Amino acid sequence: MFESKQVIVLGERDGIAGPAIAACVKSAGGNVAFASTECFV
Amino acid sequence: MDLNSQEVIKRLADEHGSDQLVVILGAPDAESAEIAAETVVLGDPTYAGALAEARDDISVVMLEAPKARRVCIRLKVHGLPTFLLMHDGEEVARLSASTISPAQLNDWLDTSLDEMREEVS
Repeated sequence: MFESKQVIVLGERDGIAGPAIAACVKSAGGNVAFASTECFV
Repeated sequence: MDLNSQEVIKRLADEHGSDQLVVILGAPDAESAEIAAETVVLGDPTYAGALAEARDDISVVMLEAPKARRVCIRLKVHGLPTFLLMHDGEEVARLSASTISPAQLNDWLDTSLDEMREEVS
């Protein structure tokens, strides 16, 4: 799924935090190009 | 969406091509995810997206709240994003919602502008 792809992670404070998603992507062999945790308010 | 994030996404898309990017959203609900996905694909209406390019009947000014705290306090802006429709320096309508699509924003603007014009005439 992540082969030769750059992964952008947009986590959200009220949802799933960026680092948690990034850790999952890395464990699945993905290359995380950018990760952040957004906040609407 | 954070302006820095938008700039990074644009840069990565320019560098690698958008077909080489995978964007994973950690939004708490489907509506938030839809808005975030729309922002990634179409652009942010408060930054460089639909509103800035589609409307020529109003002037659009964007304030970065952390850099304009006194203005936000004076205008009673307590949540982000907040959209204020101003006429002759007075607020005539306000929209503050945690998630809003470009289409919803344009609908609100059309309705508010119609109401404002009726009151003026």
